[in-house]
Amino acid sequence: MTPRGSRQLVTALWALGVGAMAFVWVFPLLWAFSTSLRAPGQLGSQIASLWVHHPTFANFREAWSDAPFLRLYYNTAVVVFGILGVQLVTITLAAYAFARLQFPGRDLLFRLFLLQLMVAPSALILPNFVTIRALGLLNTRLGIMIPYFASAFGTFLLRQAFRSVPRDLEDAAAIDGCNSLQTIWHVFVPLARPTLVAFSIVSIVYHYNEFLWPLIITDTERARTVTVGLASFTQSAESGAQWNLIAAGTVIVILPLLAVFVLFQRKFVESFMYSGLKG
Amino acid sequence: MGGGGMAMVRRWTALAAVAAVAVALAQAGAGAQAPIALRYYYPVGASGPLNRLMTEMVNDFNASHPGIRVEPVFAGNYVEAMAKAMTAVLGGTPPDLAVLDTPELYSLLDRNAIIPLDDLIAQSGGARWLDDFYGALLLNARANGHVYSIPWQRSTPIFYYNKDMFRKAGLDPNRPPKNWTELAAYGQKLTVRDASDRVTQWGVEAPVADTSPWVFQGFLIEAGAKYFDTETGKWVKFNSPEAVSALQFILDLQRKYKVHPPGPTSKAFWDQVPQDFIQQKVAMIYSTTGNMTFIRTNAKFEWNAAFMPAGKRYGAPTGGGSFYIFNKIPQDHVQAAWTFIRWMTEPAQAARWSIGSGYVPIRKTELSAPAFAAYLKQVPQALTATLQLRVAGEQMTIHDVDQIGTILVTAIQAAQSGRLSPQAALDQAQRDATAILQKYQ
Repeated sequence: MTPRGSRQLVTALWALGVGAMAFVWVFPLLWAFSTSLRAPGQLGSQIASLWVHHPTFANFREAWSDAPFLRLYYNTAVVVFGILGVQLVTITLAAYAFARLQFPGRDLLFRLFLLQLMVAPSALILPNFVTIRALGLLNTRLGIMIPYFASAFGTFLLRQAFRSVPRDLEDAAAIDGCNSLQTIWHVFVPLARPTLVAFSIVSIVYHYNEFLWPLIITDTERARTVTVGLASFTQSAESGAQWNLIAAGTVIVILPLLAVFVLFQRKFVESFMYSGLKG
Repeated sequence: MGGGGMAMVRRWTALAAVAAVAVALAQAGAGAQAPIALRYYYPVGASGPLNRLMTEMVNDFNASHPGIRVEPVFAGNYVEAMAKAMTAVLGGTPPDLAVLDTPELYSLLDRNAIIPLDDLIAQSGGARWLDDFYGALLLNARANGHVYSIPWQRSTPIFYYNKDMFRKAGLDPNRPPKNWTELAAYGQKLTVRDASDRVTQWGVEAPVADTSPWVFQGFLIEAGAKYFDTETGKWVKFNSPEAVSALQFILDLQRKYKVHPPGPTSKAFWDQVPQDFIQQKVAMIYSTTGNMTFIRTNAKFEWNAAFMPAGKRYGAPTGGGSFYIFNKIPQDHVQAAWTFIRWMTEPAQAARWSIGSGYVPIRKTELSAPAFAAYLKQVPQALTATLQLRVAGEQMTIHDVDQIGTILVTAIQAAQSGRLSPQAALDQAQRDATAILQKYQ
């Protein structure tokens, strides 16, 4: 075989492999969509197939009426973006302090900060509950958000990014008369944009999916999030699982997140391609 | 949107209720009083609109009891509801009452979270009132000589079989297997293999271990094993000859008779069993009464429900949640919570919940409630579960019940996978469980 022919073969095999992997990844999503359209009676052997003969929205009607989803969407949006907004400010300032400022005990403090990564969030539920209760914030969206305002993970990630920013750029900013905050805004933040975007995605997905903490800290739909609404009609420990209803509920819950991802996908990828400067 | 409006409406309703009570009390010559607000945590353990049904029932209660306002709080599944309740208790804001998994009794007592209900029961007619509940459901409501919970959403595993397959195999469709020996024999007739010896239809599927050893407890009871301390919840006995014989029988179904799919059973298998049944991949299954509605609406063949086949005796564990009243709440809240529990467990209300959810009837008079009598005409199989309650045993209710349940699950799975012999697996479980229970001796 000519080198050229064999290269084409390799490319074809590669595409096939990648395509197969992509299908494996996207299958659960496709299955959720197709099952959500299956009529309530159709739970026989066809349940594994992706094809639906007589699609119906009956499951969506039932799922939608089982929880006040508009209210829950709103709460989730407030919680997710509220947390992210505050986090971006706190981690940027903390990361700058740990990356660039000189003060006694800085490295010790940073290590203590990183310890937070080792503690399982579920172990903090009780102490956080007691704090939130003392603040009088039980059953509020703010109560769900407060424990996440500082993020060790984000601080760590951003500190690494800030450390790779060349000193020369900082010096140039100083010569131009920038104070610390201006330097952060005009030099560090633009150069760390991929890191900030990556962190934002992780934060949004984590808090969108979070279930136990909002469930424990809230009692009413006034403050509850979509994941809690989904759980109210999709339990199956003591009965058969109604997969079509569960699938419809799942689609309702993931649709906004999916829409956001599809809309901004290009931007996400771009921000990773744009690699900034290496120090 | 809707939520805000609703809260507003609720606030106005509450205000109207307060005003109404105030007027009534003023006319009676007493001082005005706000209704007693109760926080009520409930879990949902089954799929479907149970959340909605619960809210409707609570609203009906509130409408008919102006002095009390129960606020229903959905608390996740049983595990999450327990986590929520315990966090609230340890955080100093216990709910007033909750439905929790019944075997959590000792976990709740160990944290001093709940109160005994004896005095309240005495006020309500004492033993005469309590005796109307099925005895099997009260077995794990009792500890140290007190009653701590009132049955609510209770289930029990039963035996479902495909009558069409019985006919095809030359078996009498009205005579389900009565004991383990018959089960194995029936299984052999009902297991179908194709030319290449591949099984196309299994005889029986028993999800003996999922996240808990629930169905396996049925086999333990049937084998006559006394496998835990029913009085104070301080010891277990997993490796008695009876317990080993129960596990050995499961393995025999899988390996000797080859009538049950091989390998360890898991949570996935638990979910799969009713699906396999309606898809006619298996002739007989063990599953919860909670699956009856699912099977009834999806089975395209004739089926029936029967007692779990007997070993030395008939037997089944019970499952599901019961009402608990919490400690360290004001006395008038205790009384109000009790009023609520009494109202919810009235035959007509309990029947409404059983029919809507598929849980078993909790008391004898519930069967004669008009709605339930009509339901039984439609689903005569529902009576089987109720009758089986008469021979049911106690579900394992001990200290650290979740952790020890997991240990037993691990042992069952180790034996099913062939890693350990039944005796060795249960010896190991016994050692591990005893080590955990050491601190309560």
